[in-house]
Amino acid sequence: MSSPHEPPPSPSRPDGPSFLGSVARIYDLSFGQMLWSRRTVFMVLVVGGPVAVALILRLLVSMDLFDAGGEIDGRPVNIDGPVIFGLMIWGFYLSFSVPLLGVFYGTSLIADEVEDRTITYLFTRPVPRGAVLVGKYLAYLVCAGLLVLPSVVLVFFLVVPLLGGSVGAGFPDLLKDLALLAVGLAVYGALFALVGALFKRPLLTGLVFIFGWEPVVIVVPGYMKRFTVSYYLQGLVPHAMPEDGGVTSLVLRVLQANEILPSATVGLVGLAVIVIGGLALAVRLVERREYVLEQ
Amino acid sequence: MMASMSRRTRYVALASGGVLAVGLCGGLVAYLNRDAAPGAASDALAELAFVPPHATALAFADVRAVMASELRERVRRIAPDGVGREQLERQLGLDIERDIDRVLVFWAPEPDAAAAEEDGSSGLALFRGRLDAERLEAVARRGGAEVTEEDGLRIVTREIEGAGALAMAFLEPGLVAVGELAAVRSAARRGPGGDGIDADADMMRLLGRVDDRSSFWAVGRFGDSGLLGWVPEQVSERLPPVAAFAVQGRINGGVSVSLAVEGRDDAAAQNLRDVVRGFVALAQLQTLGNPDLQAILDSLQTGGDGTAVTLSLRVPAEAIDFLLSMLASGEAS
Amino acid sequence: MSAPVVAAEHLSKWYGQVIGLNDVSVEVGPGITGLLGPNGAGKSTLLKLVTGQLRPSKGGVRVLGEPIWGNPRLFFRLGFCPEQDAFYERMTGMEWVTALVGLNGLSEPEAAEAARSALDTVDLLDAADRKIGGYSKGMRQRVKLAQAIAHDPELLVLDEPLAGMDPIARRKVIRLIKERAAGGRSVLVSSHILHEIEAMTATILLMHNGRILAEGNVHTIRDLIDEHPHQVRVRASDPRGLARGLIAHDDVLKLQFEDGAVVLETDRPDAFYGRLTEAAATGALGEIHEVSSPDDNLQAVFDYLVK
Repeated sequence: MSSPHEPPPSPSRPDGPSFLGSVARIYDLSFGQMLWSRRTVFMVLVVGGPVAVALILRLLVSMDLFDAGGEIDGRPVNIDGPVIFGLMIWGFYLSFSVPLLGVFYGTSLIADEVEDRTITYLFTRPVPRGAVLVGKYLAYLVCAGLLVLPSVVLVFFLVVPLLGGSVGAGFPDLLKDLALLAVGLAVYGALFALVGALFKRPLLTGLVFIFGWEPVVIVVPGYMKRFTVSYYLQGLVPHAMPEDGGVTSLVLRVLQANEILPSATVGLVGLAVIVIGGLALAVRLVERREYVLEQ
Repeated sequence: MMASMSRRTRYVALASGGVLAVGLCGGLVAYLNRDAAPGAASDALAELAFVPPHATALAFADVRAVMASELRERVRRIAPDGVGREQLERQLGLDIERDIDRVLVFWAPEPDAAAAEEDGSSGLALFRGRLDAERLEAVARRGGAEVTEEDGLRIVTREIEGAGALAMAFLEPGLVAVGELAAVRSAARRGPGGDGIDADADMMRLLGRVDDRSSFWAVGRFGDSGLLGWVPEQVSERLPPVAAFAVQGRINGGVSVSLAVEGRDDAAAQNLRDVVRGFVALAQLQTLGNPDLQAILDSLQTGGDGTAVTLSLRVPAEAIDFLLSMLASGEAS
Repeated sequence: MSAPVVAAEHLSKWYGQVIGLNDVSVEVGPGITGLLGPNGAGKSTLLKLVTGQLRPSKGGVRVLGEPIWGNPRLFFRLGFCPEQDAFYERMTGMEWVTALVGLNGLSEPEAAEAARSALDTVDLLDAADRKIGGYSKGMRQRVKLAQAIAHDPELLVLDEPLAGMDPIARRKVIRLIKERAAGGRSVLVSSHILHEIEAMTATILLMHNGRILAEGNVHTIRDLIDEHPHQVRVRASDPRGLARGLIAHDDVLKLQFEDGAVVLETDRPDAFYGRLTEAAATGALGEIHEVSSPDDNLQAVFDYLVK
């Protein structure tokens, strides 16, 4: 133990880091914690599922056990690699993995630190509490992106070349899909960050929202569907999925028949409002809320 | 940002980002290479190997895409059993909706008259799909066809009154050629390893105009050894001075069609553009009061410069419904 | 009197129906101030209000002349060592302290240098690159202290900083706190053990049931404390050998054994702790892992005071 205590060369800066600087430092601190949490192990399994399915599919095709000709609703459908990929994006990622990641990470941005009683260390530093939330949100976004997007790329290369599909021709669709999923992660994350700041049992609330509220309300005629994320997200779907192919057009037809396809502009505006509004409200709540830790 | 990351975290982030980066780069390379290849020709490349270099017209249809499209669904409402579908199935054992994936048709008139005498004119259709050779042969036999074997190739031939010998042969598993006997023999001799249309730079340039997402397309060229060679003189005299064309379309809810025509010279191209504009103006006058047809005409765009003339239009689903309902009411009356 | 570092005025805090702090008005001056009281007295609530983690239900608190709630900039001048044993267990001590002091706006190298210096101060430099999850209780207390002092704050707030430390580490931390005060810094430290507080400062605030019971010099209650036996629990490698060594002195009134530990009762804590520290330093009575004191004895004093 050295003595006497020698102050460090530049111990503190009265001007301090800016809000964005604080966000960056919280991101830096939180990213590793988030990446190695037990939650991430579970999420690796969630996003690894489609890759496993893609591998099995590839195996089946190589063994000639997959019939490319199909029929849905009495209608012949042209099932090829790009169509299967489009369906996997819609079914596996957009409807399941992305909302689930949003719920699990978004609701826990602050809750985890409170539960672990480590929030004290962050809230007794010269950084605005809002910056703590936003920094953690960014860490979630990068962490979830690093889980989901490579998985999508792997699925793309495994599935798209099947049954006459072309990787080159499908590449623009891959870019659109990656962008769409990144937007999905951002939106669900922001929404559930707000839920996490608002409710005592945010995880349960989030799960009820994505697996109860959204799937039901989205098909109910009327205005209620506007209170779902998928409504706005699906506004971008036709622009991000392969336009050719019977299955895709059938999916879109179902969506259109239920009037759940807003225009891309409405979709984008709606999503932007959810992200900005959700984060702003969550920041405000975190700034004002007291966190009483269990001793 | 990565300064305070642990080594393990850094490795995972780099590995994950690496997969993403490699995937995107690989996809980009594939995309750029795909652009260098001729559009739809890449999709139908195997069949193109059977097309001789002197072919003057090619047409392609992605049958599965068409059959799976909403347009087909709308047509099905008018003709639930399909137009001639049952007849085709009965005579050839082919269900066009299920068995055929795509069709490539080409016309390659033999420039040498003597050779033409020997081989005959060379129109041929190549069907790719899930085709059962034995079943097709059996159906053809029942219809009076004969089966011969030439150099290991089984050729089914049937004399059609007034049209000569119509032949069918499996050039490879899943690919059947149907056409005049001489054309079938010629395609079989050429095989996938012979000189195909890819040796014809002029034709490949035209194929390069075709988007590989097209549900159907056709390209052709006119000239001394081209289409005009077989087009009756009375007709060719009336044709506009066109050197080549490429037409392509996509079918989904509606139909999008685009046509590119090359005039023989700038003046001919300008003449063509004027003709098209005149036609559009006339059509707009004729369709006043009919919003569905007006919508089609509104989508029609003409353009091009130099010797090129381009034309594109989109027929929306509503307009197709209208046209089909007109057809249905016409049939009913 | 110089300007108070902490000034509370009619400060109250309640959690639903439960009162945590009841109408406290107090001024804490520069130097070391001990906050003494049994568990549940309201010490932690007061420290959480002083460090801006809780918002007053009524009244107000100013720290270094400024209101603390919603004023993160004040943490440039304030360091806090919380009571809870909570960490980012997967990080090394060095990574953790560097990351936290980095939140004060220091650059990477500056933060690393500040962290190294703080870890050196608490004698943890050798273990700086080990994961916190593998630290002993005493090391965890010290790394917590390191993050609180790394940015050299004007006011250091410590909530039960000596809990679970071995006697030698206690002595070193007490010396560190005193050195900070000698260097012109202020320290507000809570404990439920009078002996600990007394070793650091004579200025104390006595808390009981959410109120400040008394403030001033520790000697005023010293005699009262001595009248009541003081319990000490010592976790050691050889509790029976340790007990044999300590029972020979007449200030040890009785003892009882627990799993891996011995609980002793003394009526002269000063003399007892002095001997215990010496034994720990020499290793004469085996290895001493942890010393803690149940607050029953202090509770008895407070019960007497509030009668």
